[in-house]
Amino acid sequence: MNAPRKLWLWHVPLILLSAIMLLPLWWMVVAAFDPMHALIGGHLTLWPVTWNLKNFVAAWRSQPFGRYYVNSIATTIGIVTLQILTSSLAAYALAFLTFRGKRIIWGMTLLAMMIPVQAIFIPDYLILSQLNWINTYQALILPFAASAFGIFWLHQAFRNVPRALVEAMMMDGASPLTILWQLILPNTRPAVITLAVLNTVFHYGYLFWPLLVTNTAAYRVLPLGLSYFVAQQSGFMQWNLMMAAVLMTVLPMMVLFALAQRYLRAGVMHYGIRG
Amino acid sequence: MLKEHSVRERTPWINASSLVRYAHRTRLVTPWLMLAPALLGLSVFVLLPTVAIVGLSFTNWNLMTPHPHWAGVANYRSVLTSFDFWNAMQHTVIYAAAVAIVILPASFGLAWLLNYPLRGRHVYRMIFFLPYVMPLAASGIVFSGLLSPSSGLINILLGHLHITGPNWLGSVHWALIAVIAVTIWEYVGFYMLLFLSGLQQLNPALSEAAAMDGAGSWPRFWHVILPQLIPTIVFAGVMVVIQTFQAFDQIYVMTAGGPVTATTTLVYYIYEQGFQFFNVGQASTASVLFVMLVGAITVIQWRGMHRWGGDGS
Amino acid sequence: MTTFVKATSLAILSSALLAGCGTSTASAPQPIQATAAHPTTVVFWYGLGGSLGQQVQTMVAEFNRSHPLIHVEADYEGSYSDSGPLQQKLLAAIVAHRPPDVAQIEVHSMPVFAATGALAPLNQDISRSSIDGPSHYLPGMAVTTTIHGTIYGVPFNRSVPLIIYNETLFKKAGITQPPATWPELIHDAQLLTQHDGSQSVYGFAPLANWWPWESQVWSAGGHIMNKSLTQATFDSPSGEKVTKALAALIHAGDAEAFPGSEGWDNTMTAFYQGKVAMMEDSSGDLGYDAQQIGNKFAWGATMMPKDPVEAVPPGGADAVIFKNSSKQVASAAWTFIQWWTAPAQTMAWSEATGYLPVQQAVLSNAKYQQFLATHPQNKVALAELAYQKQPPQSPHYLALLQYVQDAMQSAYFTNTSVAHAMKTAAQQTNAVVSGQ
Repeated sequence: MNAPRKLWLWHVPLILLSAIMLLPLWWMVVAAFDPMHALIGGHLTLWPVTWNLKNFVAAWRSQPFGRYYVNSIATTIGIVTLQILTSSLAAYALAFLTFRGKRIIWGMTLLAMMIPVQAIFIPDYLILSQLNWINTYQALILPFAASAFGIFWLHQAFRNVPRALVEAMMMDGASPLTILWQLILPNTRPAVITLAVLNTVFHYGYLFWPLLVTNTAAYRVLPLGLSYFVAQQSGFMQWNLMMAAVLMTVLPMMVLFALAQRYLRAGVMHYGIRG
Repeated sequence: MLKEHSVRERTPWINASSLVRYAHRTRLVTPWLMLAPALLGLSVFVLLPTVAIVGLSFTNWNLMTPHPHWAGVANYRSVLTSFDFWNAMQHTVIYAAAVAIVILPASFGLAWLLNYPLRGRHVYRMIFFLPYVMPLAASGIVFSGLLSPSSGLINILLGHLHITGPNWLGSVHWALIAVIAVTIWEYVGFYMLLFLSGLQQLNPALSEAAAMDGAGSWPRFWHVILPQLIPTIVFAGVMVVIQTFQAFDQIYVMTAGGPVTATTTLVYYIYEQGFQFFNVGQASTASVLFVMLVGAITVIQWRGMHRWGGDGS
Repeated sequence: MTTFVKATSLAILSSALLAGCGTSTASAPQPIQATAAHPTTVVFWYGLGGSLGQQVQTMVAEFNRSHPLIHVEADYEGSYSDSGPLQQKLLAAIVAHRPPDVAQIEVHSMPVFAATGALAPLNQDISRSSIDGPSHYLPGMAVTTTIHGTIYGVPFNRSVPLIIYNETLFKKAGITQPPATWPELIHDAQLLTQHDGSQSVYGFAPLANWWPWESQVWSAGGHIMNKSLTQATFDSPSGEKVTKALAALIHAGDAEAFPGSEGWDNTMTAFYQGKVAMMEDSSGDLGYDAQQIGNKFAWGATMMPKDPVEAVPPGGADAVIFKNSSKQVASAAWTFIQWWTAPAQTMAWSEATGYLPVQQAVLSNAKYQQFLATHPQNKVALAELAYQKQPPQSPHYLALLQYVQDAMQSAYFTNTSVAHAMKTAAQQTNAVVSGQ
């Protein structure tokens, strides 16, 4: 494809669009550092009057954000680790082993992929309450320990590993775990990292599930903590404190974005290819 | 041990039979051991609950009494004739359609443009993709602040243009539009990357051949490039629909389904019926219908991918 | 097909079984002697945000300081009203057999929670208490705490709706007396409304909310539900009369109403800014109002108007104890509730917030008399107590209120007529009531 002439002219709309996309984030930063009076005066504030950290201190004190951080990070790491573990084991069995009932299992996986959590949360809640797990880490993590999508995704990736290599190792008497660990996973690293990164973004930000299964501050995760922070300010919304809290919530994802940007982008692009 | 190993390596003719033995040994136990953790999780938290909602949809239960009461198809009759359900359905369809109509062309256009060797294209891509890592609840709260009637940036900007901005989230006319806006903002970069991956897989030979045949840039796009992209477009379209159908977090923090019921989507309706009114029968009925809808869309996707030449894998 | 039927019935059976064996899983902890190092923990869920929530935390800290053997863990669970998160969380926690030990229950939802069977009956504790009991309380407190003869709640932070008005604007408009009836209020609103270019002042700002609506229905002689609680009856001419008049006032531009979940907050802000001359408010907000208005203008409160019936709904919340709590915890919880509702504490709470002091004894306290003299608005709330009316004690009442609130929003902010909106709400309610 040849580039059209005067390509640089496109910088004008692109810069404009970038500004629109960045505006909410920039406003968040400005409000988070700004003392309240500048905001409620109804003036256009695109630069903070002072860069002070008071809002962060006040927000941090008004809710147990430290605990929320711990919960969010523990939950996200727990889910992502378990999901990759269970999915890679299952995907290996489905991709390389022959056994009776494989088609049924594969069908079940595809079926489970089509069921959104939002449709089955009532029985899920009842099961968790019978296990006496409401308001525990188990309730936050274990329902997502296995993922049909994860199995499907890794299965598609594993299939690209040449069968001959796998069979060679099998004949050497290598156990499935050895083959998985030494051959399959190193050769499908991009797909695995993609799954991990997309899952991290999703579960770190997930509000719906923690909202259902937790009911004390001790087990709240950051997005839920934010929603309680909003509710608690009934009467008079202090947007500067809110934005400080939002910024604190978003920060780990921004750091992840900066560190794993390459994987994230590649991940979504892979996702597109595989569909 | 060592000897055995070297013998095997040197005598390839025994490979076939050892493979068979290996298969025998692993056929019964190993696959199931490996599948067990995933199967346990999926059975307990996805498959059993799915069967349960089908069952519960034929009952009346408020969770407080020990047992559900059999209700036959009464729930289906009342849900399918209820104003609330169709109202929620209507909002869901408007929401999904509006997001799709804006986000697909916009993200495609951005991908198309940023696929050129434009200076700074990596920076642009980064900027457009950045909102995707924001938790939706966080984005929802930021937009609530931007749209706040008196102190929000949007109404202040409008005020400079001598326009009195509405009470966005408090208005039955604007609230859904605000939720649509935050969804588009959040995901446009994600779809841009999907389309970029589609564009980068194009077969340049086809395009060059067409150019040599003297095809102009528009016909070349229409007849050569677009057909190759159809699987990506279908995939993105279905993704948008499924993503918007399942939306909850941003609605919960921005409007809680209101004002009146202006932003009550199907998922929000199920949540309210189930967890606010504890009307488990009707919530399950709506869930079954919801699953069937999402299932139908997914099947259309798979069919579409196959028909239009995508390998679907 | 048969496998499908089998699978379905299996699923129903298993969920029924799961639900049935639930109670046995909650095992009571062994009673341990509480010491200052290991105090008995009482988990308390409350639903007051903002400055009220801070006041709750202050008082709980005070309790914990003065009671070394008990530790009350106060958890904010989101608002307790308007189908707020606290109610959902409580119901869901009851289903999971993991309720807290003590919770605030919004007075209208008491029948819903009583119907779950999760609340501990308090008749015995109350009969033995020297602090809590109908004979100690202000009149009308028991309308919400007793369901079919069983006492489930203790009046904790109780309020009534009332009208607050801007006296400075009243004087300017030449009005000397606050309105006593709805027609008077509407007349005054028309006098007070000033459209002066872009700066409008509205005479009245009705809340698009179910709480003052209850008073609107009753004051014109309407009934919210029939006596046997099998049908919604608010969509009658008398039940709709006041709401219709208010909707007409809004559409004529003589009143301003604020939509959405923040409608109430926005109405308060407009009142504080002098953009609205009258509003319906909770007596529980009087403390906050005084603080926000300061010396900006003179203001007063008056009873909810009649037309011709004087009737006000109860408001605020009662405290309950859950059956799940062990004996030791329940008795610690009862100590906490008694402390909170004792004259000294309820008086401090009332003075700080504007909520009613639930005890008769407070009224004769010289200090409280002095407080009332400097805060005449709070006297209005006490005067209204004689007219407190019991809302229908239906376990479906929350659904009714939700539908009514939606109806009010669409009647006030869209072209839908009050009659049509209320008829829809009544039909929706009846569907729920007859469904289960």
